[in-house]
Amino acid sequence: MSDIKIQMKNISKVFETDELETHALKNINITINSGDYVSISGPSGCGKSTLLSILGLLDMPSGGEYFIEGTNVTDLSLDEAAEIRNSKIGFIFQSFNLIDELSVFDNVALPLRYKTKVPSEKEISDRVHECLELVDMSHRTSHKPNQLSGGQQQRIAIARALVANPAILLVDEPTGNLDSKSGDQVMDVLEKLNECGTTICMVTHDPRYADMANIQLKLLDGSILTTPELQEAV
Amino acid sequence: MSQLLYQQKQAWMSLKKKVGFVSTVVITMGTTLGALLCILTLGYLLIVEPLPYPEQEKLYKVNHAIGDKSGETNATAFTYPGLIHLYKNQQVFDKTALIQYGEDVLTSLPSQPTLSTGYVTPEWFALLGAKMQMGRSFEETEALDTFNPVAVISYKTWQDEFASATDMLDKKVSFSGVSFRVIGVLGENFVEPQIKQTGRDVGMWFPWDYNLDVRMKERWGNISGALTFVGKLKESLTAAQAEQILTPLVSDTWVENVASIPFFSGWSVNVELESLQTAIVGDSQNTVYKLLAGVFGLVLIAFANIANLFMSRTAEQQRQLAIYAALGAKKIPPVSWLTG
Repeated sequence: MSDIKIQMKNISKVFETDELETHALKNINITINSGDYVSISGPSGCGKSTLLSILGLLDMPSGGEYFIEGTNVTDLSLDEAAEIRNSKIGFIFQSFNLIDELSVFDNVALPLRYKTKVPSEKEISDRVHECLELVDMSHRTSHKPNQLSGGQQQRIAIARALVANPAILLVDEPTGNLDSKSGDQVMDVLEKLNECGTTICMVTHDPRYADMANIQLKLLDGSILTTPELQEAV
Repeated sequence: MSQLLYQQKQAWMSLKKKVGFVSTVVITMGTTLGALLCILTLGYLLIVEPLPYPEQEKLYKVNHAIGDKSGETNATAFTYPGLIHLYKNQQVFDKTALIQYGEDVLTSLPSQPTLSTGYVTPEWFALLGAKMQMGRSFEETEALDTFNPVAVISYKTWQDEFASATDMLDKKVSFSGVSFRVIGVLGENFVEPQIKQTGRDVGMWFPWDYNLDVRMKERWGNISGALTFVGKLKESLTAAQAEQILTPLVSDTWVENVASIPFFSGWSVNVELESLQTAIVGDSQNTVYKLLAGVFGLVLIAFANIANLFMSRTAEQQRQLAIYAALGAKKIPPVSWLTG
């Protein structure tokens, strides 16, 4: 199996209205290998969110090809895309996006419950506790999200993103809603996860955090200014 | 805990926080579906299976419409001799029964209660498929002009007036100076057809010979609304055909017998068959159809309202649904999506 986790070839995205055609992404070529820590940065409106949506299969590209772990995911049905999202992609959002009605445990366990073959309760419990250990939040399993600080909520979101063993973590401005101290803690957690082999793709405005990535992509007007060498899938 | 149980638990936890939503849905659906169930039951009873009698579709009540010179119906009631003439000479019914309703005092009991009484020919209980609690119903020994003083008692009268006496068949009852031997108690499930009056239940049944209109036995010019004729139509005939056969049979004899009365000059009789179902439930079928239409409209409105409520709730949950989708939930929603 290839160690290429993500590969985009000539990806483009055009938003069309009756009067206007907006080229949000133009010929994007990205290859992310296993264990890479990629940051995507750029000014507002440059296409970062669109790129992240396509990377996360929340939107479809207008052109080009997209592979996750060698599987062509360019043109999937909604259910197929959901299945790939569940098994291969972990999302971390700027606003945490935890479900307030669910406990920390149930929030983290959610992706496992959406698997095609749902694990047993014991397997779910073991895996959830394992992931909460990774983010140092195992002592808060019964709490509700609104009983936690912003930094703690983001760590819970990281645990949720990790729980299904995804091929890649897609991270959208993880420190945007946090103070600098909590932001640093969250970035430390991400760095440690990357050191342990987790592949991360992060969108950020903050150049200090972007510098923590070993591959830094700059987006401008829908195009990548710095492109790492494209590798072919084996 | 299975996935289904988990979803049920999450749904319940979520619904607990939306008491107003749950109450509205439950009350709306409960009320409308309750109303629908009531009307459907009513419709079933009045339209599909209105009467608890065997071969009820063949049972007809015969109406004796007396028309004056202008041809307009002057009265719908039998004359006593006309009724007996029809009973003895008709060929269109497999089985017929005469009924006369009255009221009399049960003088043999210390409390002397006034009971509704019914006077019938022996075929009456067989036509209705009556089952007996004890003893027997009327038979040939109680046929016309036998004057056999026996009585069949209703289940309710047996309970109320005779305390469910087990030796009821050894008892005698007295009405209008005549002592009748009780030969049977009707079963609890026997439902008397409410031909004359709704809610009127006969407490004591007697052979026809003891009916209260017997004084009119020879009076062709007098009519009585208490005289009733019921029959089971032959398989080969329709109601219209039977009417065509019966009308001359009855009318000619009546005209002949009232020829000496100038008042009835130019009058005639028209025999009409009314299904027992129509005679009992009347035009309530139309009312049921209107009620059904109304209640279906109500259910549709309720469904539309509930659908709107669910759409509003889904819109309210947009953020949550987006999160679920990002985490891999598929398009077909699990229970927790709808209720969560």
